[in-house]
Amino acid sequence: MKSINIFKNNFPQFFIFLLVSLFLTISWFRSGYIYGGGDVGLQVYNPIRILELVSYIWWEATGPGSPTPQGLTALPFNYFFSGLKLIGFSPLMLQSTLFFLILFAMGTGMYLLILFLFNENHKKYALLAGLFYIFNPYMMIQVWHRFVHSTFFISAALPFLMIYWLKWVRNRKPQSLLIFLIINLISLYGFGTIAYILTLWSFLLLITIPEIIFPWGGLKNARRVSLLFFVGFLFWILTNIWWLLPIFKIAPSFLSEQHSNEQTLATIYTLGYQTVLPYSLQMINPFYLFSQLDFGSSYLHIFLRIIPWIFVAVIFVGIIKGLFNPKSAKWSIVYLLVLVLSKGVASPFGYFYVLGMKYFFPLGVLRNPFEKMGVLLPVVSSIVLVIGTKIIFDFFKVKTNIKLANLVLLTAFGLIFSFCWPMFTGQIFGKFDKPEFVDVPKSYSEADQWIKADYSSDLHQNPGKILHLPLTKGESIDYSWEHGYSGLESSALFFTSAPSISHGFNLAQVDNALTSLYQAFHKSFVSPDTILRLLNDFNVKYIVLHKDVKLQGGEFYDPKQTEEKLNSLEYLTPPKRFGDLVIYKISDKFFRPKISLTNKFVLLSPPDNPSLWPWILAGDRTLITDLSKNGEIEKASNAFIFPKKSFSYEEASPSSAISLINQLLINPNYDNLWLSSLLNLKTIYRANNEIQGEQLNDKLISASKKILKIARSIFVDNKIFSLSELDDYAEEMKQILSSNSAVLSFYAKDKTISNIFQVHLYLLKAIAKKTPVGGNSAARAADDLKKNLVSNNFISENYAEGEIPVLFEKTVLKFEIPKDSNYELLLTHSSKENLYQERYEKMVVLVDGKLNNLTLNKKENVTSLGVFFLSKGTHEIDLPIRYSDNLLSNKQEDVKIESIKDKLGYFEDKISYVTGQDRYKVSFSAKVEKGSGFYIQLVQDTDSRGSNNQVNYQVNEFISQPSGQDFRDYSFPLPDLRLTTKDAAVRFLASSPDGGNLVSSSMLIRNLQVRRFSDEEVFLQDFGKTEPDMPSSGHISINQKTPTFYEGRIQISEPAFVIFSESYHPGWKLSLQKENKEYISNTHFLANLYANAWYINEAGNYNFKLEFEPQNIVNYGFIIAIISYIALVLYSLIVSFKKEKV
Amino acid sequence: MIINLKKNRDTLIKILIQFIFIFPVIFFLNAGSLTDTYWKVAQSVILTVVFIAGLSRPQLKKNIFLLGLYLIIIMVILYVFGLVDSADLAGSSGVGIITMNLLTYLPELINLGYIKKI
Repeated sequence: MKSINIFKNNFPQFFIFLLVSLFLTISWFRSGYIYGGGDVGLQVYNPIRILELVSYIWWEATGPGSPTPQGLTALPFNYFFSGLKLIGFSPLMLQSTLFFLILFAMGTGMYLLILFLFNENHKKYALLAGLFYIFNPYMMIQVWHRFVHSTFFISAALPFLMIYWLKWVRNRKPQSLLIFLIINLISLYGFGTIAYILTLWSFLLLITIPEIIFPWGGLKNARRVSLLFFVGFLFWILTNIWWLLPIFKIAPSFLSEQHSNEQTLATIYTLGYQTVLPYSLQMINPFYLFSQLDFGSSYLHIFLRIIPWIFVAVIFVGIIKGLFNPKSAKWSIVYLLVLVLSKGVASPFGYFYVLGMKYFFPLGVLRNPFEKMGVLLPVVSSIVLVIGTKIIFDFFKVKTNIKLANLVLLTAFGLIFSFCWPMFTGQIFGKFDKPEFVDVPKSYSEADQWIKADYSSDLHQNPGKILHLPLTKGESIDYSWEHGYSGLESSALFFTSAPSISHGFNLAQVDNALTSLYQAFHKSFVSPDTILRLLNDFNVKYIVLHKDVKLQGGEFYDPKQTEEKLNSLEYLTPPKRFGDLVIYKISDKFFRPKISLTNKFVLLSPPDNPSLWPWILAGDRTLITDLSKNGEIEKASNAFIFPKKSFSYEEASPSSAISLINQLLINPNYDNLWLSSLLNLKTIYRANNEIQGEQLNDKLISASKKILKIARSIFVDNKIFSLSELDDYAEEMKQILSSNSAVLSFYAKDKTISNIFQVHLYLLKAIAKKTPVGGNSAARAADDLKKNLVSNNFISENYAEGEIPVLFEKTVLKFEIPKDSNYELLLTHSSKENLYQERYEKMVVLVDGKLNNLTLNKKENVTSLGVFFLSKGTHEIDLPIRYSDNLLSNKQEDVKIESIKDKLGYFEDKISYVTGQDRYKVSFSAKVEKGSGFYIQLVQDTDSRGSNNQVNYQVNEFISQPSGQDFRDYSFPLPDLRLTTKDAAVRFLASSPDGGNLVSSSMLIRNLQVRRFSDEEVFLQDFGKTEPDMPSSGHISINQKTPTFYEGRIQISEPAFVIFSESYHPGWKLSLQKENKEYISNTHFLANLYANAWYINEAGNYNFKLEFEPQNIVNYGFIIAIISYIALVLYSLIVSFKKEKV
Repeated sequence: MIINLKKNRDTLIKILIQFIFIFPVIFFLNAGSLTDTYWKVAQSVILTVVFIAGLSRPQLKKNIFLLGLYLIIIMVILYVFGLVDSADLAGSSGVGIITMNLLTYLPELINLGYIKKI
């Protein structure tokens, strides 16, 4: 009844919002296409498929499966939209309906909020506030243009949530709390972005506290409001527990694998430059508006730079004047608090974010505060805007007349709304001149239908997956469809008949395995049998080759090459073509079921990067990794142990270190040359706003200068140094190397830093020898430094310390040995052996520091270096680095490069025998005759152009070198070439950075060399094991009930492994039943580098159940939520019944 | 004369003690450990001075408020002419000053629920 009255009383205003929403929707969808891409992909393309996905917290459809509990929040929305889809809504109708509803809710919600906060006489202002809430820079850029659907829902729901929350805490009516919870349920999609939980409750707290303290209503009132807040919060938890609990149980470990604290801090610092007050007050994001010019260059015009300040001025009038009014003072305070929260680390008072994120990892979800907390800005801005508008209107009314006052009001708001002109013209999605239309080719649904028809009989009894090639390592992809597509990889939506293995997960373990799977089709040393083994391990039944993928950036191999390879594989059926899609099927006799049995296995300690060698070496044996390391599978027929950690560095010889130190001590001007790599890094960190990196770098520079100062005072000035100076230095080094180890590994990747640390060590040792007083302290500092350098992988554990090292340039490999045994040290074959003059016959190897001169013995695929006894624990093996001959055409001559006036001088030399992922070391001598340095670039045929049309080189670094000095030597490794690079070159540019202007420069290059690092992999194999007999593995029958529950029968005549080809997760539990007894298998292993395996140590016939246990939490949560809703409904009925009685 | 001197000395000591307690909090919130961004250090000093002045000399509050507003107006002008860094310096100082000044009105806001007069 009440709601009918609200509708009747406000019909004209509601009608205006309806017309505005309708007009915008028609304008946006007049071309007849849906919008998609970005972080969201295609949310309305197939809600029925999404509903299937989000009903379970294990997403099987995005193979090889991952826990995605936050998907549960999309359930209510997808239920509703699946219904619409079932009655015949097309994706276009679904998206336009969604956008219309969001727009209408935004306008009416804010309108009703203003009426609630002030009174019914404020209809005119409430209407303006509703329109401002739709048409403001934040909504245009950060909500619609960013295209994050959770933000749509949250921004539409916030005004309604606010109304009913305030009604609850003010009047204690359970009906208000019930409506609040129902609105929350409708807008649940918003909490798919977990940070919005924090946003909502921070905001509710911010608006509840003023109810207690502005003005202070006594302790009784404070207790009452606090209790209501607590009860409201409790009911919110109870009614949302079905999705909250799974998220908080599973997501933290999952998210911490995806984002480190350092990444979070780097992000928040970088974004801090975009949220400085001049921008956040206007609610604009300069990145999209000014840097990317997504809305065109008109926003650079001074007129459009002025317009937003009109509403900012009105807001400030509202804030200041509102402070004098008991009804509005609190909103001025709330606005300022929301502003401070939204601008992140920008000044003033921005550090609390850094502090919170440093010491409380979950706060990392707010790493983009302008997006996560900023969504509150339009809400509070609309409220204070109303206050300011009323004051200004009244002022004009009194000073002039009502007509003029109305005219001023209309003009001001007309200008404010005109700022959002792309919303009216429908140019807010994608680039202003290139909307992000999506038209999924028909061939996709045809291909899906074909697979569905072919596969339907096997769906539950013999589940398999679809492998999509090219396989992206990330989560996004670009298609060359009619209108293009750039965004979230969505094969799981297009192909509904089986799970799709189509993208990475940002989880190292799974992504490494997927990368190996993709590379197997393109590496010449991988046999068809190994490819089949990989396809079986990943439970692949169909392969869909996408020839419509854009190849820029070098991430993908050319699909034509993949097609050739696929056509040559005999176990694949002849291809079926649908437009740009080519479908292959694994012949039934070669397909391996999702759950299988084996007793043929090898124990594997996996490599820390993608590698195909474990699969090649294992042949048809399953790779089993004992993650719990409880040594239960001693029976392994063989064990391959790849290094847990590997790194390369150059060890300083005493003579070169001493000559460097002498130069440094005598000539203080030499300091900057010695520290040039750090000084160069400082420039890069500053340019990238990586403040943590810059701080760490500054500390390294400062500590290096401190130790030099101490050394100079002893060796040059013959003074006794102060112990406090040494303590100071030792403390700084300790901070750099131990307490900040995570930051160090994130930023100090440049291994030239290892050379600087080695000089520190030499200096400390020299100081310890020279001074009787501070000797002990210096020796202690040297010991601590060495220990920290070893643990941070800067030097080997067997560092030579003042003696001539056995290996100058070496690769250090750290192995985790599972048990005492004899191990054979093996090298896989290099893919380009002919490039290396130095042939393998003998090799000097250090095993735990012990010198071994080994004779090499070539075998199939591998070269043996010999056999060693190694005890259980960590061991270090050092090998020499092997370089190829110089691969450049210019071998000897000096090269002069000159830039004069407008002509940029450069020299480029092509590298021979290039293939993707090659790694090189470049060395040269350079002399700068004019200018302040030069640029070095690594040029590849896979270099792409950025949005500003600049080429994205993998290496494009300025090397600072003063003119006039003699030749200076340089030598450093280049990063791995991109995956599909076929041509590469090094390029030198005679130029210095000067704001884009060309500076006249001249330089000479001498002894230029580019040499390839050898790419063999090193591993240990336990020695002396004999292959056991291979009894029959038994039989298994499967019935898949849901994506999280399987059952069936197992018959085994020998102990065996059950292999389950979904991503490993401790939540998967296998239970076995034999003769009415139930066994829960606790021996859960990692199989084939990504999947699950359990060991059954007794032969027999079993019934089995395999389930993802955390799914049960959802089921229990549903029950709790329903009971809570019922309790609240009953309480509401009792209260209203009592009221009526009174 | 002696009483005045003593009074002045006491006030000075009181202000100094306030500064010693308030500055680290404001500095930490504003700049954290980043002492190399000098303007943030200077800004923290200004905000502390403004806060203490608002507490000990209430008659200055209106002028402090106006100072904050002027800085915000300067921010707008600098921004429109493309000087974003300088605009940030002026604007953040302005908003900081207004916020610190409002903190001194907290007792009045708690008592009445609004401010009677600046």
